Amino acid sequence: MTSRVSGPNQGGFTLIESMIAAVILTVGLLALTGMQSFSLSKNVDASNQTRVTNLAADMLERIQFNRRGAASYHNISVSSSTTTCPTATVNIMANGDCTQWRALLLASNLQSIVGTVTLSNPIPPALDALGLNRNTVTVQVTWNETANGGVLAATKTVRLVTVIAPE
Amino acid sequence: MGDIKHVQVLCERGFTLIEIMISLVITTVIVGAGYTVLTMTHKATIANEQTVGTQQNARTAMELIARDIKLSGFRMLTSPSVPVGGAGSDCAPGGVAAAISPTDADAATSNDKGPDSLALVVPKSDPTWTLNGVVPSAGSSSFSTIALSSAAAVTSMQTEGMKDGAGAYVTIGGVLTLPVASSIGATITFGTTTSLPVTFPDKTPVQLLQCVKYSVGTTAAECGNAGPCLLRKVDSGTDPAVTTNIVDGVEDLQFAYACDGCNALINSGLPNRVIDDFNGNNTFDQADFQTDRVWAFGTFDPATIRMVQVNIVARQGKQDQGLGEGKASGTLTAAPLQVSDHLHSADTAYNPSTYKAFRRRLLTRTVDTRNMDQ
Repeated sequence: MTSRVSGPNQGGFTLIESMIAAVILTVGLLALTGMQSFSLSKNVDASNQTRVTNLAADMLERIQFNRRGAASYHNISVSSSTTTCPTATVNIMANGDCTQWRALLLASNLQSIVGTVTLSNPIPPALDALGLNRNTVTVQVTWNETANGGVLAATKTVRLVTVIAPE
Repeated sequence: MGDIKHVQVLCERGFTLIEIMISLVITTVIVGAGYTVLTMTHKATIANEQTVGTQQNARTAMELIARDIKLSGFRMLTSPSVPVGGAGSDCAPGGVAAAISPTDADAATSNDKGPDSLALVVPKSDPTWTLNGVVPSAGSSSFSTIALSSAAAVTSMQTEGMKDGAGAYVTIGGVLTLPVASSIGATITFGTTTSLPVTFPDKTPVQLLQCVKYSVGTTAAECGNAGPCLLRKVDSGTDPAVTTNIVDGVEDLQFAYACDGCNALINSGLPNRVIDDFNGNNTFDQADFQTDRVWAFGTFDPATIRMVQVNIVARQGKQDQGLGEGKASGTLTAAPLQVSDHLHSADTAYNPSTYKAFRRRLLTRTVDTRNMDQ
């Protein structure tokens, strides 16, 4: 009778196996690093959004001050290449607000920033059923987020809508 | 025939020295890489938190200040001209009580250094602070006292800072501002007698006025941390004013004012719904906003301020360490900021190497003063 005692499986991992494991681990760790830079870039996006919201609110406040002349703010469109502003002869305040707003937008250094103001109840404001001389004002700012780590540049928009009624 | 035991031992060869050394090298590389990722992730998380905090601080500061600018007003009395908070109050530029008081430590002609500050008259209200019965009472045409809904209401106003004597003011329904001479029980007695052609109805709200001053604190004593921070000083009567750090990390505060009817040379000094054209170029432009430094030393009437341009710079509280081991943080603020009339590099305490190591966020907004009056 021949008994064969074979030893326990003590083969362990081969060098190839452990190297493959190391490569997989590295890929995982690289993904983690990518997550950090991604969240940092999202922080920058959030900061830009806050800045733009303040710029849009800036224009709304200016229209609030000049609420009797709100109608002259219709169809304002400003960017680095365009300056569609009401003329000073139409409304000196609307003209000044428009050019100053353009300067503020361009000073933000955001890519392709465009600001527009539209009134859905434009010149002359139609009277509504209640006889209120009111305008729905939409202040919109669009800009491009810079491309980051293979993520395509996205167009962002902040739109503030309010109703302005001259007293 | 005896049994032959053939014991075959397999695979007991063990590792060779070469194999162990190779595996040690690989392990070292993997652990080293893992450790680097760990420290980098940790530092990136801290940098992320600092950025988020900075942005949140700038936004909070803007909301708080804009809200108070919109509310400020309530027609301070010019005779007697005692500001909210008494003679030493911040709400009296040039000694005249006013609802909005820009102050600046730098003379009008010099370059602006450091942050601006601004004092505003804003109300403090409570739903229980209401009139009990019409004022003036039936049959009389004048009054110098009012009765509130309860003695507890007067007590709570006293707790909130209203004390007898000069410097405490209340506004009745936001229409009429009167100086408090004394208060006892449910009755408040004023320093002046008012004759009215109108009557305030029962339950009209009565608000306590307070002089609120926004400024930037830079020391640990002011901020409770390394600073800088946004300070809000509340002065509601003859009680000592209370200064609190309300927003951490606010480094700079700049104000500029657009006024209508403040310049006697423009439209005979009469308001015409067009901001006064200070530079005389027949348009409304940025130069028509008078900066805090010019305004504080001018002889303009604060009641004519129609728009306030607010600039806020927040910066991170602690310096970043830079990603990775032994790496200093890079340049986080590329160049010294020019905020309104304040160039940061012109400050005496400006240090280029520490300045650039902090992330900064600048917010700008123009605020319409909805309630502005004397």
